[in-house]
Amino acid sequence: MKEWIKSGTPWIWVTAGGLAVALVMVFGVLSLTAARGLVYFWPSQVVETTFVEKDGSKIRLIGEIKEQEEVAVRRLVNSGFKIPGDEKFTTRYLLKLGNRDVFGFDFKWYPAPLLTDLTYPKDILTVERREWGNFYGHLKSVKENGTVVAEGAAAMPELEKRVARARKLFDEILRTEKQDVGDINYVLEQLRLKERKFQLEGKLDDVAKQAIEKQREMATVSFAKIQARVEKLRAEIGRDSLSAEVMDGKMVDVPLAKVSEVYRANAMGVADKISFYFHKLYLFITEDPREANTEGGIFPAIFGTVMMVILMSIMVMPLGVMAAVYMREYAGHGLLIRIIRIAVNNLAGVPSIVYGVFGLGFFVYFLGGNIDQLFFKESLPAPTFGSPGILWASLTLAILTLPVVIVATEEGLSRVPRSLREASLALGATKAETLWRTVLPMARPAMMTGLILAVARAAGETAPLMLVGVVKLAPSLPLDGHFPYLHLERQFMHLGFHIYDVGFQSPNVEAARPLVYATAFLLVLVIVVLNIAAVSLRNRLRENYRGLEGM
Amino acid sequence: MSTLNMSATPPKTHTFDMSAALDRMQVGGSKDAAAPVCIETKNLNLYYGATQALINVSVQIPKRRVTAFIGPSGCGKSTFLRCFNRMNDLVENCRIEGKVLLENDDIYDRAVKVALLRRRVGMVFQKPNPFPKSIFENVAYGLRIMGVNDKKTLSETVERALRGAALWEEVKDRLNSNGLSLSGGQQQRLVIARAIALEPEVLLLDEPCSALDPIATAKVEELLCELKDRFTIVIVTHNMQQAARVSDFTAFMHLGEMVEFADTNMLFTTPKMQRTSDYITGRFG
Repeated sequence: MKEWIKSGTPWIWVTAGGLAVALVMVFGVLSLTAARGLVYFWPSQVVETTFVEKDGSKIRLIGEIKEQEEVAVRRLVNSGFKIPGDEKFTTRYLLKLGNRDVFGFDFKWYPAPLLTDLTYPKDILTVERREWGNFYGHLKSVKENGTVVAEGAAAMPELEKRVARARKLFDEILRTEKQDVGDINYVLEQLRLKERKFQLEGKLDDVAKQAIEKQREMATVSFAKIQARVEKLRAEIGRDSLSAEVMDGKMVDVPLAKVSEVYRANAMGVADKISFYFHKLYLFITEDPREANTEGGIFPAIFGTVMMVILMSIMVMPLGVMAAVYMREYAGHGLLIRIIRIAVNNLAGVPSIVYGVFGLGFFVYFLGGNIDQLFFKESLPAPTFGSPGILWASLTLAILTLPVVIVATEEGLSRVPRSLREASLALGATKAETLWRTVLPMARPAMMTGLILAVARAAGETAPLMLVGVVKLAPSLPLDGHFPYLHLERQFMHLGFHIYDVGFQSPNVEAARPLVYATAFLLVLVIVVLNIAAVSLRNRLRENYRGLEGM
Repeated sequence: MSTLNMSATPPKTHTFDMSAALDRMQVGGSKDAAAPVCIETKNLNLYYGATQALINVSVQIPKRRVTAFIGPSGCGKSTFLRCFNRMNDLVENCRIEGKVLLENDDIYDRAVKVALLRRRVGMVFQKPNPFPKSIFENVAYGLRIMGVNDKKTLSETVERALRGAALWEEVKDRLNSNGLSLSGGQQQRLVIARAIALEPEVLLLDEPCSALDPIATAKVEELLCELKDRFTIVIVTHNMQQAARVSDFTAFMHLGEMVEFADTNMLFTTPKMQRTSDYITGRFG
């Protein structure tokens, strides 16, 4: 035994064990989020069954089985269910019944012994709606302006055709409202600001007033035109509806204007399901969220996250590199610089919410408030930069990640061999030229390491962002077609906050849970992609310096 | 050290360098008369903090000759060499007293621009230290620092320097490959090319062959003999045979003092000082 300990074998086992635990945890996290999140897009089977109520009456249920769990029979009996047999434990299912507008609830637990005649009828229709969540029922007919145009077997093909048409119209309405109306709103807002500015400067005479008024009229006229077009489109889209029998036998009409997807999950083959799956995944990544973020896509959140990280990198890199260069190359080794170095290292350990508070107090209220006073007087009292926005969020994260960049860059500078500095100096280069031509290029991989660490930290940060710019739902992206294109003062959406919001703040937590996992998985994916980009850049840079190790 | 290559080199050197050898015979001890002085130090004292590394060193280094500094480790020969291009300025706590004159100009004068001085006094270090750039850019480095960016001038100068360093034939087809991809001996010649591209007056070499194998050493030594027609060369070496092979004059240093400075033949055959003869006969060091 003693021999065995002396041989060092236990150490190998202990260390390998540590690694194994770490790996299991990492892969556990990834596979859990992936498994829970990615099944969300798979079209699930819809079950039809009969349930015996507490009073003995029987009702029909239509829905998706979302979860099942073991439960003590006594508990069920205590709450009034009559469970046949004398087993101690039984199963209960969580059914997603949909039709929230009809029944008032979406999810419900049912004890398995009370569910009889479980079938999967092929004609059950799943309707994904833009409001009220999913709808399940037996399709009976398709209507145009209230009159039936197709029934029975002909209904489904007709429905698919008309849903496609409605979707096209819906996209057009959305585009018109977002872009054309947005353009006009922008023009009107600019006119208002111009007027206010003239007013403040005391230059608002009749000529200017008339000019503005004229432009305003023009905008109003074209606004009315667009509105008329939208009205027409709305009338068009409201033409069709479908009629279906829901689980309690009622006939319910669903206007196609509110439908985003119809399918018969029970009738789909594997190939259909796969293509449907990727279609849904694509929509998830590219669409805007709806229904208080519990449905639809997360594109604005992805965009906001990536853009904030890029802005943060642009701000933190020059600042961090310059600070590191001064500390390592010029500042010497005095007491003061040692204290500063310790302080910088400790800054990395400050809780991020503290940075958030600082960002809100200093950047948003102080800096932003003053910028508004100086440059955006005309739009006051509505703040421009004086409210949380992507600029302040990026700046806050830039100071949050500054220590990481400084430390990594300093490390890299200290690793540039003395012999190369001497070589450069001996060729008549000044210290500054040596820095620019030899030392800094060689420290580039280390700077990239700093950037990688900074990005990894910033992309996942959520708490400080809630104070300085992230919102639940941003009306527009921080990048669009209106001058100056990049709107740094705008609020934005962020994947980390989106997870929190969907998971804890949404009105329908059950329905949103898979989305939490899917969003979490995507956040990890975004960070991985950003990291891979930075790492491959670093490796390309490192390639140049192979063979330097011996110096 | 006593490989075939090594022993084969000296005769070759001598045949190549016949005129210099003749020169040396005629000059004898009175070296000053034959060649004008390039670098002169007067009562040079150098301190690293409280420790004195050079003690009262006065020497006159002749122009367009090879002068070697020998001596045991830590005797101050590298420190002394680094006084000539003010590399010691980089060392904290380093203090210098006395004078170093390059062509009669005091290089420690306040008005002297160190960068300009270093263009006149090139240096090659112990370990080859090419930049992690292409061969071309390595040689062009000093020129670019001077602000030369004209492509034609650059490529002409680079070729001349590489030819001067006897490296052109080996690298002319791969000027764009990384300088670090060359062998150790080639790297050292690249570094020499880099230094001579600036056409300095003086070339300082700090144990340039200590990291090289014998064949590469022979090549570098051969190169030095070619270069001395154009440059004043000062070489620090650990290796007494090398000093004997390549240099016209040799200085023996010990414990920060310049013990003896003489014509190489004289120093190795009839040293005047007891310490010199003890060192060259291998009694210490």
